[in-house]
Amino acid sequence: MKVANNPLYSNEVYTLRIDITSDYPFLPPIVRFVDLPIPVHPHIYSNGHICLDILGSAWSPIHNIHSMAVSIQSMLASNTRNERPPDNSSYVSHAPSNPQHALFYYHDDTI
Amino acid sequence: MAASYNDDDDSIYLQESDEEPFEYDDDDDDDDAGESEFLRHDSVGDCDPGSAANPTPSPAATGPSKSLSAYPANNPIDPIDFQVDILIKANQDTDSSLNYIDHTGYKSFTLNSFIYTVLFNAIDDIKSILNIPFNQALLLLVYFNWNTDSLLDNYYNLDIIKNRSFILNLRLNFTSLHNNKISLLKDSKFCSICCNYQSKFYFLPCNHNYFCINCLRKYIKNKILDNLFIINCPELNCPYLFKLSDLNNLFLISKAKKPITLLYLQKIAKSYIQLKKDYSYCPAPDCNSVIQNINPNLTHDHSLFSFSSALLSSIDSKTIQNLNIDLPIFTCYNNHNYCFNCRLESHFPCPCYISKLWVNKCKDDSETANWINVNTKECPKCISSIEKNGGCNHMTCYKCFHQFCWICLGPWASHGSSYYQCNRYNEDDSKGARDKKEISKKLLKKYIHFFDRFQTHEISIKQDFKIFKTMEKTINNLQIKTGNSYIDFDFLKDSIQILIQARNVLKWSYCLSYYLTPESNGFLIYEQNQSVFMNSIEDLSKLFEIKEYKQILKRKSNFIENTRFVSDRQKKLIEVVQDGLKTNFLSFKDINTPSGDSSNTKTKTKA
Ligand SMILES: [Zn+2]
Ligand SMILES: [Zn+2]
Ligand SMILES: [Zn+2]
Ligand SMILES: [Zn+2]
Ligand SMILES: [Zn+2]
Ligand SMILES: [Zn+2]
Repeated sequence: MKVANNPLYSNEVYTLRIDITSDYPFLPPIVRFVDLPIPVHPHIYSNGHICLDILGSAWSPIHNIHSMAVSIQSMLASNTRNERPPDNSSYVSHAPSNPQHALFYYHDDTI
Repeated sequence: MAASYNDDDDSIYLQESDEEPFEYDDDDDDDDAGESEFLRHDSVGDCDPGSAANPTPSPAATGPSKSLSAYPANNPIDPIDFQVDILIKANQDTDSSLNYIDHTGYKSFTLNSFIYTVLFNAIDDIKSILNIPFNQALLLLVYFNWNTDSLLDNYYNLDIIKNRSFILNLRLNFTSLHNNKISLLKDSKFCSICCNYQSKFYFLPCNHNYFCINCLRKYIKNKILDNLFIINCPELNCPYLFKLSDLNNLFLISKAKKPITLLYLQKIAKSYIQLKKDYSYCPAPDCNSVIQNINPNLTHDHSLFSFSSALLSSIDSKTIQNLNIDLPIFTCYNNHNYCFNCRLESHFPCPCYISKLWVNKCKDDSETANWINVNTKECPKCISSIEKNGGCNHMTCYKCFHQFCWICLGPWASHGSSYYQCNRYNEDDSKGARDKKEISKKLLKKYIHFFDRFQTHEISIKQDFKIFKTMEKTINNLQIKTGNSYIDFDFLKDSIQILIQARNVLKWSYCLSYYLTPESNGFLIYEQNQSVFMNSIEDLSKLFEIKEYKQILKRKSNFIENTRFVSDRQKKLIEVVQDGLKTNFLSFKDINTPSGDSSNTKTKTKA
């Protein structure tokens, strides 16, 4: 994935790993960034887990892989803050391997 | 449109005209999987179309305990409420367990009776205060986490943006969006969810008619199983909310064993119970009983998970009440006993917080302790592999007839005289510990020592429980064989119940042993009492290995004597613990006293 028009991510290529479960599309796919670099974003943990509501509670079966990827891309494109989530270090040290098992507080969405 | 929902009709079922029933694959319906062995086999919600179609009030369910006609049916009926009424009647007809039992200090409900009384009364209150339909009141209560005060504060005062959008949308749903009914649509087109051409769709009032019936059903069912009760139309940002009545319509002709409306209400009921301090549901697997605590001095802690292998002995509440200790052990509608305070099984003689520590420790250390082989051991004399199939721990090798103790593998003979050797973990051994590594090794050894005993008795209880469950049959057989009357064998029932209960107390006493300071003055007395208690239990347990019916009658006085002895020893042990903890003759080391553990984070979603 590439992010255009944002100097924070200009020259980098990111890789998403998407696991589709048997309950797809009724339950969201398991999505995380893999391989380095992991984009720096206030909703993306350094282990690649993404805190985004449509990957959890706001998922609708009307979404698909494409619309999901576009959401992530636009989340990156509109970001202006070069930082990790405030709880990054504590989250990463205790995070389950499946991000869906983590109980996210969806961060303020205004960023 | 082949089928339509008809308001004026008696039936809440779709008019099926020429429709062949369409399929709904319900293979993932894990919710009504295997019943607990303790279940009374209630027919929970087998909604029978025949009886549902009959709107005349059926006579209230009758049962041994109070029956209820709690849900008032005399309100002016709006179409949606009308359905709910019929739903209730349908369930009253088929579910004879709509009862509750009044105990002193608490009530035990079945989940369904809880729904039809407590839950529906709460909905009815809001419904009449705000003069809104039943389904609207239900969704409002769900949204406000069943907090009536905050609901009423916010309903007209729309200052909080998040609440405002929900409430306004809800009102919209019960005005214009509500006018059309969900109905079946036969039309071959592309389904936006499964991306296949399908022939059966639903007409949704919001005009998003491109979800095939199977996809829509799966969507809704997934939401409910996920404990999401405010369910929007799958189209992004569509304000349409599915109501209880919609669920009924959507799933009418499905082959689901359990009506989805009932599943929906049951899931909502469970979330209600988790939110309210004075309710708790039975931790026994698949039990679904609800207890309402009426004693205001008791609180409880929902954050605690039940012990995975918790076996809640289904024993007369009579026997429980003999244990005069201040643990709130309540008996659920299906006769499981559990601690209302911590939702563990009855854990006499351990205080709640010690039991909680132990259960968490067992969970954490389960891997370390797993190597303990629980069901087979070798005879210490001839090394034959011996499998245990009764509850008794006094073993006799089938090959060499060596008598030994299953728990410590020591010869049984020595258990009579130097009785406490079996229970006792020798702290002296750990005195020599030099470095930290040694200490942690010793600690692990100590833990495994007591955990082994804890687990052994838990397994014994399961095996004794099998005897208990077949007791009626056994007694019937004995009657036939001996010609004696049923009353003559009543002692067997008493004995096995006391045995199971006593074993449970013994089991938990090992948890206590682990945490008690061995140096405290009362510890030796405690251990001695524990050992005498254990021996009394094994003696009684041994009697149940007698299979010869003539012998059983002959040994009747032994049964009665041993049972009484077990009861006495149990009482004594609990007294020793109670007095010891009161007077500091017994104390715990390295334990911070009861703490409100608030480590469980809850999911929050953004608005
Ligand atoms: Zn479909
Ligand atoms: Zn819609
Ligand atoms: Zn129960
Ligand atoms: Zn307790
Ligand atoms: Zn042997
Ligand atoms: Zn022993």
